Amino acid sequence: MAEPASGKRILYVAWGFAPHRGPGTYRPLATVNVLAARGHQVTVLTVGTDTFDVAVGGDHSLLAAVDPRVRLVRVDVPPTFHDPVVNRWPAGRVADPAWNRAAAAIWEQRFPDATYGIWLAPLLAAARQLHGAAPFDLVIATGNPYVDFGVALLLGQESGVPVVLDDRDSWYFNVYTGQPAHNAAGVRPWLELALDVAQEFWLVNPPLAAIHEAQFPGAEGKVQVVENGWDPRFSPVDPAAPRTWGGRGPAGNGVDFSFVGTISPALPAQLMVDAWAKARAAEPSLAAGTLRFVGHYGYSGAVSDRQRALAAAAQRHGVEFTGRKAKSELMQVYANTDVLLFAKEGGHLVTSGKVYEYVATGLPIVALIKPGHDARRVLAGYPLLFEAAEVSVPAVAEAMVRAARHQPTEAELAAARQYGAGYSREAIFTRAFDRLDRTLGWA
Amino acid sequence: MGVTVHRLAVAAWPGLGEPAAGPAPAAGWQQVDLTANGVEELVAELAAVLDAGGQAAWVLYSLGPHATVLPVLHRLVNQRSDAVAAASAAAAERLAGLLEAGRDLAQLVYPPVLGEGAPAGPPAPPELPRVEVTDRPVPPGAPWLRLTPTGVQVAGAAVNPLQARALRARVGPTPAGDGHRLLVAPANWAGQGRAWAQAVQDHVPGWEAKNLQLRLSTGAGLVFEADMTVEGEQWVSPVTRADLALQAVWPATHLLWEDLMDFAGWDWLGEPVVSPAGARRAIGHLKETGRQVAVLVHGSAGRTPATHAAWYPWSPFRFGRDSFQTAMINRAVAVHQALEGLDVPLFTATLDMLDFLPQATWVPIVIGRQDFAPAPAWRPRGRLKVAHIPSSGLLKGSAEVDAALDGLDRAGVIEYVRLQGVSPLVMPLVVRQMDVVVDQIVLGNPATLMNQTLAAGRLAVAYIAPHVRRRYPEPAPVVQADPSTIADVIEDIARDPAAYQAVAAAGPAFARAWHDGRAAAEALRQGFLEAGLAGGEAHG
Repeated sequence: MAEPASGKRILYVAWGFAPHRGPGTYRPLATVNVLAARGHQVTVLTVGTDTFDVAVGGDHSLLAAVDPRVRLVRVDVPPTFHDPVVNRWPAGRVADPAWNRAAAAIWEQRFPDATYGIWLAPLLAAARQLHGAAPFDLVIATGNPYVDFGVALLLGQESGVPVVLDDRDSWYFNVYTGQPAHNAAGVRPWLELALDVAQEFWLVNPPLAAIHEAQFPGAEGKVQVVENGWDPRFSPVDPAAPRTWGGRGPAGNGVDFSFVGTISPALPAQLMVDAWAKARAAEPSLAAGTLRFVGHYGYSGAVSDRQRALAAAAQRHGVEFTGRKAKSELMQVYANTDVLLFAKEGGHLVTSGKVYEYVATGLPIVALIKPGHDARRVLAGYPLLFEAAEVSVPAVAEAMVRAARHQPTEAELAAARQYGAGYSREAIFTRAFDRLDRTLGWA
Repeated sequence: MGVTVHRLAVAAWPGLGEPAAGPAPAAGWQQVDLTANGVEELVAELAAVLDAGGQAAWVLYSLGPHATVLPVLHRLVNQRSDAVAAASAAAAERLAGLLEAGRDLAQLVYPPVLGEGAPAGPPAPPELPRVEVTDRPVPPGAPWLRLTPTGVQVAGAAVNPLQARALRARVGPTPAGDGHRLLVAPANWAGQGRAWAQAVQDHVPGWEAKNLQLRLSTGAGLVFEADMTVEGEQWVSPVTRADLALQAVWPATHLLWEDLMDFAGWDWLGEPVVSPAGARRAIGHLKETGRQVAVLVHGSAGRTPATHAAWYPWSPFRFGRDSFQTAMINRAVAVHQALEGLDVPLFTATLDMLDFLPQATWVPIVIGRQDFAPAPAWRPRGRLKVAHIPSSGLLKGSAEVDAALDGLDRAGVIEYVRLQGVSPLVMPLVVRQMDVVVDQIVLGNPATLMNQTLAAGRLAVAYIAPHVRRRYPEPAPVVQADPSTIADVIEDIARDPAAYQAVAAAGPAFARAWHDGRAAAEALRQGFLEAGLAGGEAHG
């Protein structure tokens, strides 16, 4: 295999870069760190820290995860209708609660991204200045927000610098319905330009790639799948942790299950509890075990009466709703779990981020997901998968019992960990950049 | 570390005499209940709380009702130099944390709109331009901001105490010695301000050039590139205007002022308006400081509707007057009045404008490098794609275009592509995907889209008045059409596109000869930049 290319000047455009603390911050971190590790000179073009420190909120500890060889260039953004500092508000805004909606409507006209479009003009000015001073060999832009694609399109058209666009969500489609998003008409000419200019257009799973190729027929060959993955710096998983079967959970014996993730209203929590109860009745090792739901419970910080009643009633079946836990506590959760329970709303366009963390653990996984859900693709080759035949109480209970009765061998655990290692972000981006080197003729 | 920070969550119960039940403040925040009746009384009541609290930085947010408390907070913090109000508890906590970590309150609330502002570390070198905030009185109508040899002088009466603190710490950019620096500001219609600045930088040796865009909310549906951008909402603040003056205007030796839009606002405060009279006053002050100024008038700012209606047979101004036309008339009158006796070089961007500004010099529209990107030669086949992409339907004759081309589309003669609001970034690609682009057919102005079509080697159709065509240094390869002929013209093209291939093929060379920036830079060099140097200059 050819040596990876090195020493190229690469501009990475990402509004949501550390200290941004949203879920979309980890993929950009991994991307630039892998590029720096490959010996490239990486410049990140991102927003000024006051956007996070004052307006949005941020986590400065994330900056410690940035490779020190990466240069950060920050562009300040006029906060305007996001401005939380009342001192600066024009009198009209103080007097009129609808001021923000009117301002946002104007911005939606200017660029199909009302929230972040205001960054477009200063972004372009900064990028052109950087490129003029020392030309880049490649520009990578990640969205959302999709204003990040603006500089890539400019430089690609004007200067011929190769462009790669990384669509972490979907600019054009609603990933839950598979239909064009509400602003698709405004997005379309931009996306057509993007697919014309870009060398590669990244999407996070094969189904998304397929519908983009169908909708934009000229894009075949440019659309590439670059999956999400798990990152050992941020995932509370230690694949190398020693494993024993059963007896490590709160109950002290029996096989312990955990669901880790947000318990949203769309999650079939009642079904999962009922299946657990049924499984317990059939399997002694489960009767002595615990099912824990570990994650945010409720909506916008409020638990409904129905959710509260479910949690209370489930206690007699050995079910706990623990709420959200910090990363250090989550590591203990995984360490004390024998079997993971995977469920995720959405359909064939949704993979979920949690599935990658799950396969990283090397633990047995009971999965209840609808046919066609893309998480099945990730789980399909997993050596310790126990999939429910359908999303129903009897089928899920049956899968739980199967998993409880199967004590994994060392070989199976090793195979599962090896499978999960292939889904690390580093592994995924290494493969992606090896291919990109060939596409660009760098290797 | 930072100053002492007090955290106040403010609720108001005007006229109730005592607080009613409401949400609790966030942890660590002291609740203040105001019970006075009336906004001024509530402000005074809250001010007394702060005054009693000693020297500190105050961070406040509203516990509600917001319609009552927010105006009180807004008024209070704009009277003091020690307080900031936030829109939410979370934002308030972030601000408090930043102050406790050592951030300066004034710089936190009023960071520089342009430039670096107050550099961290040792004091900035004394030669850097600064803002001086004075106690001088400002008679009505007199400027509250002036350029000086050392920077910018601001009357204290025009700013609140915290703004004054922020401005006193500002420093401007390092002076570039004897270099020549052009500022183009503030309209940037169709991105031309930036394009002309870039043209000067690229083609006039020894010159730096930048543009500044003041982006007003109204009529600004499209985003154009600019070196510096200020939003209308920001410009309301005198701090923004002072920042513009210090960072953008002060360093310039020459200014190309577009459309006489008053982006200075040095002698009045309030919402941004297009004020040619205000611009004229600011130009007077700039000339007193030794800076050279020229004016460039884009189309709608100088096109007198009555004159246009008299000279152009298809003028949209012939058919009654609505509020839009009234506004145009008023604006053109104001621009022409402000130009009366104004002794500055005058430029305009399109040759038709010489009808209204006969003393002006043509500075050709500049189209971008992406417009000249290699495009496949025009080889029409099948049903021609004919596009009409108006920025303003009335001024482009879109009703007539739609009627004609919709009919031809229904008859299967062409494929009519009707678009609106296309981003300028996307436009070059859109144009390359078309066979024919119909620009305006009533106004007679050879505008940006027409030139982009020429650069792409596609067939441009537009109305250019015969007397305007004769002003071109060489024949423009644009197919002529007006409302009475547009259907026939398009049908003829569709019937025999090969007969028009030579016309389309001539477009790129024409566009490159006149619209790639060289001609514009030369016009500015001869008519303004060199003329200004010949007169010598004092700066400051």
